Amino acid sequence: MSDTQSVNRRVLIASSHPLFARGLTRLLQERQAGDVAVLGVVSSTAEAFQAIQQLQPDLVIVDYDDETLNREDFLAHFMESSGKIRFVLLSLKEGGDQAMVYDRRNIAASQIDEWLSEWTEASPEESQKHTSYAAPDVRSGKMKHWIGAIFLVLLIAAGGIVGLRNARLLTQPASLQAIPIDQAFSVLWIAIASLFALITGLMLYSVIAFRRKKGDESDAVHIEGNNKLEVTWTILPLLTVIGFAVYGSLNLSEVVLPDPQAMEVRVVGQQWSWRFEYPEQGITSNELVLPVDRQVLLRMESQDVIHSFWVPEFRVKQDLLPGRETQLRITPNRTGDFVLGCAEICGSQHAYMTAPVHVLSSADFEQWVFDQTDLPDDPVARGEIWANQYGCLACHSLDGTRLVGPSWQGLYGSETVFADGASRTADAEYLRESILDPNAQIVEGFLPGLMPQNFNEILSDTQIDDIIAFIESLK
Amino acid sequence: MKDLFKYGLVRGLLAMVIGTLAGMALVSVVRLALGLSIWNPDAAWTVGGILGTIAFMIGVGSLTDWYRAASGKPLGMHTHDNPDWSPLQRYLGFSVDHKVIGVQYGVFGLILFLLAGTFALIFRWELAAPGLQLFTGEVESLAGLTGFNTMFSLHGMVMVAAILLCIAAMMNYLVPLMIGAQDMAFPRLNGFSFWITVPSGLLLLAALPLGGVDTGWVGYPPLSTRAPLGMVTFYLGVYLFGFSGILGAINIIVTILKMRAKGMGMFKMPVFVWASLATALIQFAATQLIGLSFLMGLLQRVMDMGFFDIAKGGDVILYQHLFWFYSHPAVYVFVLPGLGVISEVLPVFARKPLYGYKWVALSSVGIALVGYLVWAHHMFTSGMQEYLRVPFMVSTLLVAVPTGVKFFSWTATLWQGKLIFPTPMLFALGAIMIFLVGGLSGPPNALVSTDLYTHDTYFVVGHFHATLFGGFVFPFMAALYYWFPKLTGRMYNERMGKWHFWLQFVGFSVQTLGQMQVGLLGMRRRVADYDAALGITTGQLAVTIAAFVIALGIALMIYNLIYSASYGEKAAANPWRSRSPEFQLPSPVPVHNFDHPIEVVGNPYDYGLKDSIYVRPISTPAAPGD
Amino acid sequence: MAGMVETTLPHSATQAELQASASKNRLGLWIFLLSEVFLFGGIMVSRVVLWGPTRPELEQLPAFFLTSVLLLSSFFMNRAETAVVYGDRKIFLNGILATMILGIIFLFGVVLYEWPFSGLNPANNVYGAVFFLMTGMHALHVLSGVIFLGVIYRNGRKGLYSPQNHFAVEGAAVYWHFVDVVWIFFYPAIYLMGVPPL
Repeated sequence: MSDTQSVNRRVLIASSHPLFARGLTRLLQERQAGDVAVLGVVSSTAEAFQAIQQLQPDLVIVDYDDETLNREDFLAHFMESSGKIRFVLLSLKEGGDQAMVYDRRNIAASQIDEWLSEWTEASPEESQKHTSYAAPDVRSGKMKHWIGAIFLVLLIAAGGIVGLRNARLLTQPASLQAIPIDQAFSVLWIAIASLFALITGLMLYSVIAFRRKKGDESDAVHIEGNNKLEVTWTILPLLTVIGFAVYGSLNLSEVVLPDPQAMEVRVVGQQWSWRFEYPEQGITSNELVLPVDRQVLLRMESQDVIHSFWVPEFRVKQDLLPGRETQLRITPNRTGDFVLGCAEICGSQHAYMTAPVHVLSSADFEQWVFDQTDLPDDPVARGEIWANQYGCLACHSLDGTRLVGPSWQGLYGSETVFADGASRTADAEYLRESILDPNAQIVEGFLPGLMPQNFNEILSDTQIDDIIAFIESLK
Repeated sequence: MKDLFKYGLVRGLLAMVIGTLAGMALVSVVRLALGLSIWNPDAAWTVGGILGTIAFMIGVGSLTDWYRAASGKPLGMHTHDNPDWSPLQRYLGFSVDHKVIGVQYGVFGLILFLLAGTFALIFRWELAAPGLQLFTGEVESLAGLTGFNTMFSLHGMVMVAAILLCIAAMMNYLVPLMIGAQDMAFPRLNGFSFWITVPSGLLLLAALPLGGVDTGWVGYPPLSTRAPLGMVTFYLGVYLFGFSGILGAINIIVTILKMRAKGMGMFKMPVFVWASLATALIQFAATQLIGLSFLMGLLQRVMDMGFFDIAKGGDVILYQHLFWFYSHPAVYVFVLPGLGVISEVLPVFARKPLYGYKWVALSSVGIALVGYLVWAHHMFTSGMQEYLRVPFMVSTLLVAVPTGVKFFSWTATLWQGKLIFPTPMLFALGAIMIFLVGGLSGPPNALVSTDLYTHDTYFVVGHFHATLFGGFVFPFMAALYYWFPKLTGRMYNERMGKWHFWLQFVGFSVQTLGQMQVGLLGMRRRVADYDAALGITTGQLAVTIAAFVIALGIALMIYNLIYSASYGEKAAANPWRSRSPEFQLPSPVPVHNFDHPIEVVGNPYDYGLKDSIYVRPISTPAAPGD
Repeated sequence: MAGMVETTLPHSATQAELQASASKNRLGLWIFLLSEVFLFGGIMVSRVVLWGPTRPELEQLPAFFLTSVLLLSSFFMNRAETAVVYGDRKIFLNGILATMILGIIFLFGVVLYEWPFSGLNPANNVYGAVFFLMTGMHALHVLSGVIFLGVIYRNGRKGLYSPQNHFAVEGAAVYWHFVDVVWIFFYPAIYLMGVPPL
């Protein structure tokens, strides 16, 4: 063929079958004269690659049925480097009574005219445009990769699930509410281990099996994506999360089930202590004591900043707000000793805002209630109880340590200097005023506005007298 | 001495001192006139901080051009830095070159990152064993428990600032180069956006010497109303810092929408540009809400305005809604750029196209949008209306879907690739694994019932550190190593880079699993001490040691980068054989970026497509037969 | 200590360059205003949460007057912007001046009348706190708008704006209208909606 440079498309035909080669050449010349020029025909793989190098055709049509041509080589070339050079495999046998053309998307021979004219009309830039092709799965060895990867995934999943099951991961449950919560955790561990294994397994397998071979500077296979796969791996996770949402909803409804017969306990949180009031029993305590197997309705309020009620073994948690009641229902289902900790940062001693929790049998609980209503006769001893219960000791030490407020050691009868320079003897009258109207006079070196200002509502006169007696006793 | 004044930073700092004092004086004068006491520290530091910041911005030179424009001297269309300036003047002064500004953001960001990390090492030391070891001083002082609380509060907020600065560094440096532009849409605004982070960052840090902050980074009232004085500059510093995010985001959006090279349709941009766009779409709007919540918190404290004071009819939970409406989308701001870096780096080192590029690009926007709908999952135990809990659980779980698209795409990109593992690739792969752990530890917090257990425990701390390390720290370090040769023209030390990776990866794995475990075993958040009876002492020790191992790795990186910037081996312009536009430029990048405008003639990730080109300079008309 | 060196002077900028620059500025401005919507939106949410179906007892006439002043100012702003597009310098400058004066009247009205005589105090209760937050934040934006207009007026007198090159005026106008729209939401939210508590 002379003057092949001026035409649009230059074609090389690879087939050792003379009839195929010549027949195809004739067809192309007749149908696409002027647009397509056949550069030549090659009959072996080696010849083909040489011709490709030399002549730089735009299209190579390979005889798919020709057994003397190494189809694997062409397929490899075809999948890796189809930039300017396009490869097409044409089979007269595969399609029954139709010819089949493999152009990384299967088109029937009846469509070849359309394809050819589409192709010849496209500009050089456009012909470099890409649609996402689904490469025909003719690569041998691909199966082994999938098997290896799936094996690794299953291994990691098994390891993950076993590991999470056996690791020490939760405190020992002690409430009815813990049952659905712990079950939810178990379900989550399985899901987490599986998904972790899926991604990590595939990634680690790739890191091991798909390393670049030494000296190989070529690129990998040009796979852009697959819309169907994308949709699948969007829809499946969507369905999974919806499933979890439904599960989570049902799980929550089990956790918050109310018992109309619940026993009420008022929880008062303040910087940095807890107080528990039992309206039914008429007692106050700074330890939370509960009867087993009975739901308690905690009615909670903070005296100052946000706190939060949490006993890990009971699982559930709820913030305490100032000026507003929040509620939490817990049904302890085993006896034992636990620790309540504040779970919302509430200032300097947040870490130490704890209270003992005891779950007792019904009988023991009744005994405890009885014991609580029995107060000592000595006002000093009573005063000490009030000082503990109402949180005074969170801010006033008994041993001289400077906390948020002045220490009570040696306070009674001492000369107290105030921020404005005035001074006063710390007698009973002064102490009473300090409790009822804390901001009236601030001791030098301390800050106003920190002490609760509602003790006149909370403490009775007797209680205040008791506290003053207790302070007096501290030398 | 006078010489120092040629540096904008020096002028700015001096002006800030003067401005702060002037502000305090102003407050005193007004107070005296009103018959009040002369000194109110809250008011003094608030007004002082504001005037100090304005003074700094004037001193550093960021307002000069706008002042000139306002005085009627018109500004030119094009700006560039004064060519007579020395490099130090440029980097310590008001530059309008996005590459310089990117480095400024990066350096300041790394400084704050190291500072915040040091705070963490300090309080991790305390937590290594039960009992108090370091913070044994007076409870209400920095030597005591208040000091501990200040350490974790500032660790949190300074880290947030550091992350915002570091992602701004990446976006500012890379976006114009990746879209073939000469600079950002608003170069002067860009310089302003950087420099305002300095006085505001200083105000944030000032919280420490001013007595500390004990509320955690979230600053909830009513505790913030009675917190130490440091709360004031904490609130104010963050408020002013927000200006940078909003203005910077506007700049990024306009740049991407209006200044792309010829032929660069939206789906022909490098995917990092999509990530930056999605990030900016969150930042420009959501940041206003942390501004508002902190403003209201500050006003409640300084002027007794009772927004969150129930005695005055206020609502404590309102603060949390306003705050989290920003702060949840904010975490997607923190991770989207890093996830974009992973998507950029994997194809280059797998020599394979980014799988499903369009889907990955859109997933960033999807995450940004869904991210606006989930905020109250931070408030399940807050006492907000119970009926809000399940809807927010549902929306929170939905975020997993676009995030999953990214994971699957990365996995598919690696599959059948031809992988090599230089340091940036190691960090990208490590990032994926750790972000996976972070993401998978999300559902126990998303489900309301299990969150009632995990909320305010170290399990949450483990979860967000994993997502932040996977979504920001590891990818940012991948970016530092990957673009280091482009930035400096030199190569970093590969062996040291690998050591850094393994120290950080192993260290962090121990840290995150340790934190999650101790949290599930009862370790509350924000506590200086814990009961030995919990049986978590070994775990706590392990986490502390892990933190120090990570610090060692990072120290190695700092040394590596600083040393290699001057003495590293000269690097090729495109050492990674990347198709991205910035790698078609010489290293370091010339001031004007591209010699000729470029045009897009192919797809960004067509590795494996023989002879395909992505971008090329717009040539003169082709000769016949071309 | 000039940092910036300009490479082209504005009068030599081509029409295409001016339009490209205005296009970027326009997009940037609108995105900024969208950001501000979130700010004022958050404030609005706070009003709804903290006042619910109530509002403070306030004098209606002064507020109605001030609202009319602000709306009128937007009319003059529009007139001025239209004038600069058509090259009518006199109407442009007068319009800017009128807008500024009306804006200043609004500011005086809020700060010197509403604030002291509303009977509300920022520290008293949530009515005072939200009232001052809303009017204060809005007034801050009105003030910055007035300053911006001052600059426009001065530069307009110097002849800096032409029908082809006047983005600053467009920007000021859009900003001013935005501030007005915010008030259109804030005014009913503060003065009209809900019932004063008993």
